[in-house]
Amino acid sequence: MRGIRRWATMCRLSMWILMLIAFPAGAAYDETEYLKSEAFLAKVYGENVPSISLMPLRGDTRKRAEAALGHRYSGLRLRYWLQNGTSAWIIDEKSKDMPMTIGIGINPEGEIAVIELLVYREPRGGEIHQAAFRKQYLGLRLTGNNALSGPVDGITGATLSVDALNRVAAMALVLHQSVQGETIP
Amino acid sequence: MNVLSRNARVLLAGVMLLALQGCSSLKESDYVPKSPETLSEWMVEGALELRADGIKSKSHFYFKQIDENYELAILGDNPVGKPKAVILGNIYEPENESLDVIGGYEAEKVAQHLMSVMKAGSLSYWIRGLPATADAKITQQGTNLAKKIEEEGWKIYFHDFMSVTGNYKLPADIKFNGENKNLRLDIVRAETGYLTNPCGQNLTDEEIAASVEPSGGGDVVRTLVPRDGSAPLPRWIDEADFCRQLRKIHDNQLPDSRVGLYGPDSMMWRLSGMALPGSFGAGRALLLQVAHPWVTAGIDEHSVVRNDPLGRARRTFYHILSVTYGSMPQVMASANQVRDIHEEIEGNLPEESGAFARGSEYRANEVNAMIWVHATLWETIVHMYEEMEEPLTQQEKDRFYEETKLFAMLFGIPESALPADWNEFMEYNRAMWASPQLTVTPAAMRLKNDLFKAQSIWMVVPMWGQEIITSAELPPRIRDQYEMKYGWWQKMNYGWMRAGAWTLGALLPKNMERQAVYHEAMARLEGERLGGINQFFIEAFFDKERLVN
Repeated sequence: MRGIRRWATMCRLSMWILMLIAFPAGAAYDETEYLKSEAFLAKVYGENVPSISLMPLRGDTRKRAEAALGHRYSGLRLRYWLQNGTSAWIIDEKSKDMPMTIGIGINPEGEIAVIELLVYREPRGGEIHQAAFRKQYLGLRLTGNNALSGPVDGITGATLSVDALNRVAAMALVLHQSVQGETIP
Repeated sequence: MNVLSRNARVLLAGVMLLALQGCSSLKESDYVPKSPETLSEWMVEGALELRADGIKSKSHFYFKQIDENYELAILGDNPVGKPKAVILGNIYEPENESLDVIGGYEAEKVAQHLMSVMKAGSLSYWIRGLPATADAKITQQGTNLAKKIEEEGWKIYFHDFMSVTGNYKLPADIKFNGENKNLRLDIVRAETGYLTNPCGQNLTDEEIAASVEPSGGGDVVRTLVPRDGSAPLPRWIDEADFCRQLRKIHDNQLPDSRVGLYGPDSMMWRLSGMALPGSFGAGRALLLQVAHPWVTAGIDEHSVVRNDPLGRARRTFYHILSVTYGSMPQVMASANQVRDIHEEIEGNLPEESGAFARGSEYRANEVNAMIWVHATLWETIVHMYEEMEEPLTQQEKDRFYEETKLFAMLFGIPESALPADWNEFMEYNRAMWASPQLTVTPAAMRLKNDLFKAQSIWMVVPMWGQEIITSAELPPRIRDQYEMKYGWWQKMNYGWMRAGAWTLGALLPKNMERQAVYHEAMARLEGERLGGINQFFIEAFFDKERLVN
């Protein structure tokens, strides 16, 4: 009887070990963090980063922001930073089926001054983090129909990510106008 | 010096090696969570304990917010019961909170006690690790992870976070310290979307209403598998078609959102909950799928499967299990994510493949191909369950098949396109096994070889075993096309594997007969966290802290 029990225990132990070694290692998340939010804010403001402000996304601002984004924005408010007319925004937007996190700094003239891909969560399409690509956005403003004032050349194989970045850039410009109390040009 | 014998040292080295291998996948990998500010439909549930004014209040609760309206429900002693008192409010009108008492004085006392020390509107932010106002002092412990918030006379400490659907991490253990008052929240689980609307954000109600449900009628099997061996006419599923099916399920068919599509009394949970039939049949289902040239082309040209075949298998089963065992919001989140992934998969066949001409267009969101993918799952589950557990009656198979129709609808397949009952479904499967629609292309052969290729030395034996099992269970024509052998050597090995599996099944404790995700779903139904060995299995295999809790 003791032998059978010992054999059963051995079988159970062997099964645990087999299951342990059979599990595939490796992460389920295809994620790259290119820049921490603190580093992005330092790029916008240098050493004197202002404290966080909160913007409820309601009414006309919401309508315009969603028009720029091309779909409903799921959050009810946005965190932003504002100092001497320069605003900074960190916004999540779906590229393919996962959200990417984008940081955008806008100068007092209403032009994009800093644009950074902070986190990318897809296996493909992360080329939009390349500086040469992002440089195209610098100096762009908002047009009357909530679009970017200049063209952005796409990247083959990263179409959805480029589209998402364009939409978020336009949305950030709308939000900047809203906190500055500006009207549509 | 020789304190340890040679045998003991070998054993120790072996244990350390195993531990190293195991530790690489013991816990969910770390990731940068999405900001909880982006949540507009969400809920958390758990237990609260409040001490203030010399009184102590304890209760289970849930907090739910739909857009700007929130409700904090006091549940009493039962973690999943109906609310006994509810604090209602709007985040833009924090002074106008109201209390609705439904079931008793005790619950009313807890709610009033809570209302006397804080606004539930502020709690709607704190409970997600967010400041309620811009005046708060925040200390972070990582991106989108608060460590401490000081606001409205409270010092709020966030001790633990839980990973939840949608790449969020929400606080799981929160302590509020104030002057002569403190509150502790122990959060068990959360939903992060799809509470009121099962679809994504791109469609208006008018667009969905304008899409037309295809009419039924005709010979469904012959529509899917034409007698002359030709390819079926493609039927694409657009976003409105997809959303229409989701709404049918969400709005009409299932009353209990916590239970999800099926529940513990369903045939689906009974059959797919058993660990051994599912693991023995996985290779069969995957190879039957990729015998369809459209499926193969979609995987071969658009997926990272060539570099990471096990990762693809893991993601596939993640979504299958989420839909099977998840709560209704988790089901809808998974269905929408799969659709988003499929939406980008389209192209033209690079070569003539059986019934399909070279250059013919394929898309992942196509009715015929999706029905085939579904069929491989359900036919394989029944086949393996009957082989390894017990035979099923005709009535049980019909009931199971009716349940699978809900699963198909979640991917946009209209019910009228599906075989009517189990017998017609099996007629469809047999017709497909004999049809040139199933043709193993060179790309399918590569996928098969990749699938069974051991990624590490630890995987050599499991992969060898899986290949023999798959070879034994595939329909002979498909097995031959994959050039898989099933001679005396394979039959002998399969014999001892089945005997070994049967022995293990007999020796296993009863609660280990069923797979970990089944236990996770049962914990959700009881309002509890999973924990224990099943939690370990989920994190080790899926690299996720939770799938359906």
